[in-house]
Amino acid sequence: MSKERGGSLIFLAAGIYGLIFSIQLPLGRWNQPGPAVFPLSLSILLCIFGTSWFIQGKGNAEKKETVGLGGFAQKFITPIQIVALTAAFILTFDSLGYLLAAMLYLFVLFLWVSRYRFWTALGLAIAFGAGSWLFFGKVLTTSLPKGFLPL
Amino acid sequence: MKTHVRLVSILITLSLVMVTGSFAADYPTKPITLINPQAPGGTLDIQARAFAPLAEKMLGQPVVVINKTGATGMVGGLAGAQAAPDGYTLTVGSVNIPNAIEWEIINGRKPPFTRHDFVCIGTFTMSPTFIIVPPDAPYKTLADFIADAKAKPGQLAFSSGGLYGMSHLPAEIFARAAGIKVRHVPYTGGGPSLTAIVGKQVDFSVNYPANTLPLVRGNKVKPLAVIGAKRLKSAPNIPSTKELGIDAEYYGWVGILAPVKTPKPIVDKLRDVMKKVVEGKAFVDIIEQAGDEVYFLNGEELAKYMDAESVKIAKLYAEMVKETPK
Amino acid sequence: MEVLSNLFNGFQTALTFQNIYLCFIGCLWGTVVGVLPGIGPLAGITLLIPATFGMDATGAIIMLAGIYYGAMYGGSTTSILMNIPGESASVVTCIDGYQMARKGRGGAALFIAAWGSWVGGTLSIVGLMFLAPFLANVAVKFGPPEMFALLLIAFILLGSLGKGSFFKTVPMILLGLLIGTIGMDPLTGTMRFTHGIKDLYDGIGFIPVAMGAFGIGEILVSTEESLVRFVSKVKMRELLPSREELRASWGPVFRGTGLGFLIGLLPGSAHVLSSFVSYTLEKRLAKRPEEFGTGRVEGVAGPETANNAASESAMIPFLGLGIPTGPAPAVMMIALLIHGVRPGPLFISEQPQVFWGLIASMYIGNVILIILNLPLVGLFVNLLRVPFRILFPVILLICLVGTYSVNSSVVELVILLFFGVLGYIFRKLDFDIAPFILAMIIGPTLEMAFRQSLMRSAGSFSIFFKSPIACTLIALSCLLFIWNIYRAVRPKKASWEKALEEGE
Repeated sequence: MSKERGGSLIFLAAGIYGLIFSIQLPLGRWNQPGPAVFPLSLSILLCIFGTSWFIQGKGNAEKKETVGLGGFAQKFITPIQIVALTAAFILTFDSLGYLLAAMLYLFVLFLWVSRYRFWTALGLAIAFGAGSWLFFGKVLTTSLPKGFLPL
Repeated sequence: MKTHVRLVSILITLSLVMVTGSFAADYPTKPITLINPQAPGGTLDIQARAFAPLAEKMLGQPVVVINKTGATGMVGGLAGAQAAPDGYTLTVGSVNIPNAIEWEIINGRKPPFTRHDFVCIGTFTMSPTFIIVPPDAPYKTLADFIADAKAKPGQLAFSSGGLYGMSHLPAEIFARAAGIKVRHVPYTGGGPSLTAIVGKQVDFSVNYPANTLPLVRGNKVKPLAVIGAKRLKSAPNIPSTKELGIDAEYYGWVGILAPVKTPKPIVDKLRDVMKKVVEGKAFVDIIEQAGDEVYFLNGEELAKYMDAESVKIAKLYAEMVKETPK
Repeated sequence: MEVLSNLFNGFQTALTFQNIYLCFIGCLWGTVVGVLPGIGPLAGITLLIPATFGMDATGAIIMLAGIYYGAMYGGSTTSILMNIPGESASVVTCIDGYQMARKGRGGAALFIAAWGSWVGGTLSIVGLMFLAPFLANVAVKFGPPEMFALLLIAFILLGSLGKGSFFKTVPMILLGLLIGTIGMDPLTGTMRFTHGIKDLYDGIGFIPVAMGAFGIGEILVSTEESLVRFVSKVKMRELLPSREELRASWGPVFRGTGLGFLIGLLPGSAHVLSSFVSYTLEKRLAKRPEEFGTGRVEGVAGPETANNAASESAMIPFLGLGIPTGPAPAVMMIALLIHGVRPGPLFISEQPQVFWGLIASMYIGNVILIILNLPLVGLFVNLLRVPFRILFPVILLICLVGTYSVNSSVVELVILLFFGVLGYIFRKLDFDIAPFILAMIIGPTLEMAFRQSLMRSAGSFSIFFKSPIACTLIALSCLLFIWNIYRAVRPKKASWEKALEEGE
């Protein structure tokens, strides 16, 4: 799939989503344009762009981005790992408390993605996790979730 | 041995009594947050930030104002309504909150919170608004303006700081009481609304003394009247709508609210502290320097006022909704 | 001249030991705040208001103003070194600034940014000094129709911001505009695309999107192949810019100052506008515009100067009329009020010692900032020598906690991640993210200006043509639009023939 085609799918998807939801909004009159006008026109334009590029993309034979399935997996595995770990952090940091979740998150990242040894990863995770907790929580007085620890 | 047991039991009883009855005595033991649902620099901000350090002195704990803006006060209001009712998270409330709630109700949507989610502590000010026009406008009195508006129905426009906000409703109330048809152009906030009238983008506007009086003194806007029953101390030359025969009054109150389940001892203590600070010289000076007038209304009276007003506002909205295109 | 004697008095006020100290603290704190993602100048200022209670009015406002423009200086640091815009005005700096850093010219970029910021800030203050009251009155004449017309041009300029052709950038702009509509519509109170999630009532913030698309997206791209290769690439050859770089940046700096100063007078997100208008201007004027986006120093010098100039001139409506045009001047207004000073049209004449003291301290502040920032350049660049394998998890964490610190919202973290992934996908597909984010920030203003204009005129489009300013700007934007399409179509006629027939 060419790059433009991939992009066109995103625009089309956004355009359709916008279309569905902005039609439900009031359109208003000429002397009081309603909230639907802008998003609706944008969605229509996006759909037009999306479809025209999708159709056009068929003709262009672009160089393939990936080299077979094996190459695909190897290339994207790190980003996928990072995304998954970040998602896990977001889901758990409220219940675990910021300090613990941050240290855990950093630890796993250092260990699996950066390929540090166990103790180095642990040390770095504790250092930066606690450091950020201190800085944001105490110096900048942000309210960070406490989880089940009394911290 | 016996005395030992007696001593311990006395101690236990004493501590139990102290713990349960000491809510008010202990409070506050940690910093208090004041949520301001309006943007920084606005009317609420000025009063809240003037209040905070003075209250801090009386309460012995830091009082911090944070801004949680969005959706004409709904975001901050929601945060305040859902905060833990322990007296450590208060909301700077204003007439915008019941306005917003009524609007949702009238439009058939369930508001994210209602004013019954709050208990009122008290008010800082309850100021009326000024009707202002550009300084070179051909109107000398309010009557001139009304005559002009009647001659050109639907042509004159006014700016407000936001839909159904505290600078929109007084204008609507005035327009209906004077029997004129005008158009509304909403802006985002008091500042842009004032810029609009100074720059003559609209024909008139309605705003509060704190923002308006400096502009009046600098001859950037001309006030025609005060929408209220009496003239303002800081502007004795400007007639009130009531004395001109127009039955319109509206007071944009600003005060403090707490979540409804906050324990009574804490609420009482807060009301007490607030009354002392608000009526104290330091606070009054800052507010009067800004051109406003201090007016402390006790929490219970404020609740009654809100109840009475909500009936009026609901009626006003019903009319406004009929006129809005859907 | 009266102005100069007033300025002299101002300097006497500002050059007291205490005031210099306060200015320094403000600038330092502002730089820290600017560098840190999440906390913006607004939060920085409000955090320090309680600390000003013991001071006199002049001292207080000197410190708070220092925070404000200190943050402008700091914001460019993370943009250049990590491709994470510290705040919205620095988005454009990321484009070429980060590329310069990757080529080893990061130190030079930082230097030029600081230098341009200083020139822009200082010259802008000169303008402010002489013209404040006059300009305030002019700025006020800019109403919704004029605003709409100006933004229309801005958006068309935005189309040429990207590396790709005009046509490729347009859908990104459309997408950004669409996402900008999420939240409550300020003109009718209706909720758009919020699905009942209260965190979305106010729309999607700049911070989660920018940090996600730029920061996380960039990290995801870099970690694709392997982590080892990144370490060797970060070799800062020199900290100082080369001769050609300095020479090339003179023009952009001066143009940026003029542009930024004028645009800063306008209400709203003026400094964002000024940064990307400057960028597109430089791109137009350059001999080899296709190199923009690969690390051209003009792409850093112009925008950084413009946004500093704009942030100084944004104070003019506030100082001249007492109406703050943005949250930062608004907070300063409160600080003044608490200290018993009344801002308003008579502020300059009634409180000359505060006004001129402030002006003098602005000059001093800019000097302090450049002294602060230059050695900091070395510090920050060394920070980058830390191996990427250690750096990137920390950056990820800081993005997360920085976003959380703004609104304590988990939803925003989800948005952060979502745009991180989206940003990554867009990078892979060769689409430009900067126009998307800028469209998202400025879009709501464009829409509102349009609707307000129609509300004022009861539906008649003539309001746009009655005003000479609006009319000229709209005509200009039509011309620009046609020219853009022409240039996009002409050289690559073969592959775009279909687009002509089907799309536009």
